[in-house]
Amino acid sequence: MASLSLAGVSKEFNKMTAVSPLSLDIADGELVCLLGPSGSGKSTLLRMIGGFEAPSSGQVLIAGQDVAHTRPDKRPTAMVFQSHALWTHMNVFDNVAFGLKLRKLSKAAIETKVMEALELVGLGGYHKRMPRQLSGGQQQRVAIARCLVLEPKILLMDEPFASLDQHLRERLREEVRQIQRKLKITTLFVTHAQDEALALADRIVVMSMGAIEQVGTPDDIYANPQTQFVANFIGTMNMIPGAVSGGRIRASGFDLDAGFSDGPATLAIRPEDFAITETGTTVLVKRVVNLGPFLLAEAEHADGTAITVHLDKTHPVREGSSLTLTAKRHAIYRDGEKPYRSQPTA
Amino acid sequence: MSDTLSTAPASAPLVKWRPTGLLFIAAPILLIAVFLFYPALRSIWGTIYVRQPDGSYAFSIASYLYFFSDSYSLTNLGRTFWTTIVTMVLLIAINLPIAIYLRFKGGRLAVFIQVLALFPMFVPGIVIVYALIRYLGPNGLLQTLLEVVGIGGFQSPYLTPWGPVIGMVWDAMPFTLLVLTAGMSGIATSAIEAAQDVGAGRLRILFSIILPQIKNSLLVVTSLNFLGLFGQAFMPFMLGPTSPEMMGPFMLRTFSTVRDPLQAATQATIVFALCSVAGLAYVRSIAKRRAAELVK
Repeated sequence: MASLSLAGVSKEFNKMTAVSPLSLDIADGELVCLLGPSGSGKSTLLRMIGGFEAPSSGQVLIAGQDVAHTRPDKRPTAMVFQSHALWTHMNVFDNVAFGLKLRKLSKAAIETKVMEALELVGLGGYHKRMPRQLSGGQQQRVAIARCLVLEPKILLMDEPFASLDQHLRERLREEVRQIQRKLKITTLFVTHAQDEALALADRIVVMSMGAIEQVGTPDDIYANPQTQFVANFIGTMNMIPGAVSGGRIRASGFDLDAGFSDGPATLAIRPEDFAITETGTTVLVKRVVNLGPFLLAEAEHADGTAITVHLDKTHPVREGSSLTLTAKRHAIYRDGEKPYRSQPTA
Repeated sequence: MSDTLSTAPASAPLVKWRPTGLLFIAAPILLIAVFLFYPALRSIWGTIYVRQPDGSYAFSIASYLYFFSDSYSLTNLGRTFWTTIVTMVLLIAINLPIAIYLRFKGGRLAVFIQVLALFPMFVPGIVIVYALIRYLGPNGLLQTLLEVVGIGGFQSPYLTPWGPVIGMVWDAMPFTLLVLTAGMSGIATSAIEAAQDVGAGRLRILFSIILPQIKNSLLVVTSLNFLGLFGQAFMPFMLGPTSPEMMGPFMLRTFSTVRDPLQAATQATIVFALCSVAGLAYVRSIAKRRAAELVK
């Protein structure tokens, strides 16, 4: 295990910036998710940490040692690729044993380590199978075992479950979490799926257009998105255009405390942060969807603004009926970037 | 509708067999049988069911016994093997690095190299042969250029065993490259990176990851090249020596100059039998790949 620090790391491809200079510290044994849409630079950043891309500038420090220009196999890292990247001509045992054979370990030691790694990922007894005889999930487990058997200090995972179905993804991410906790291995996990990041990570690094938007715990990221991008990307957020005047924001009938200078601003309220009250903003329900534990109502304010509301099932609501809403918690953004206020409302 | 489906027996085939498909391919199969298989079988049959001096026909393997006891015929067979194997080795040695380069590098240089390697495909064989004679032959351009820079003693490969090798390498290069490039395209970049990640160097990646994964392509290109090169007549006739010579020109001369059709047919049957081994290797590799795909 080891800590990882990025100091001013950037990457340019043909004068196009893929990753802007950024710094990040990851503690020993921490599981950090790099979360962002396609093209946000998260995979490039991971590949720079793994040694598959050389940074254009900056330092990649693993346990205090700069490895920015060190070959992948000379770094204490191991990478799990999105496409499993198994060697199709080798059976499961040989896939996992390949790295150990290169390290010239004895046959007995290789066998013991390979079998332990396969047991760890739940594939004991599968060592003679060829990759084509395994399911997608089993192939990804082999890829994980291939990394773990080398006992890396840092495990890098590049969207490892992207090609798997939702049910399998949920199961595997739970298993990865358990293995990571058991081995206490520092792990960087790239994903574009917010549910995966929220469920797995100790901390989430949200990236957009090659830059870090926000770093925080899953709860912090969800409850206090620092930028409008994060607010939109993590969960669902109603973005209601309005204006601040006299310390209050007025937007589509909502009149809430703002506490900063006058001017146009965007009011942000999560669907679960609405309360149904006697007085407040009235919206017309257009559609109701039963999502199991709660109802999702798609409503519209008189000015045409669409508002999504989560309602518990004790509030039966019909399409065409009206709801009177107030916000329990809201945030306000100006110019799409800086939050001016984010507060729980009593 | 669901009732109708549920009453169908579980083992019923999804697509009903109809003879229309067979009828569709009947005409080409008939043409192949009449114009290829029948004359070939007749020719092979004619080498073992031979006309006797008294005009009757009898089974005889005398022409085969002659071939395998005649030192000149055996030398020609040996020369054919040598030329074929050397050409195949050179084809792999030249094209494999190009295919690897094209797989992992992009850009203008890669495109230029690909165009250069595929160029011979668009040049007729006769043009290639005369170009090589004019370039590599005695007093050709290469010799002239070497003498200009003060390098004398150039031994032209024209009419030596290396003449056909050079011509056939040129001729078979585009096909070899296309098959190898197709094979290389099946190797994921991440598979190579994963090997790098666990500590494999370039040579280890070549021998442990790349070559085993393009084994099928190598087998296909080797067997098909063997089939094409072993029976080559044109390049060895134009660029090679007359003695010993490859089986192609040897058969041609036995048939048209020596006017011994029985011996020419015997030589052809022996070449066919040897090529069948390569053909079998090709068919086996295809069958193996299909079986592997079915397991998936």
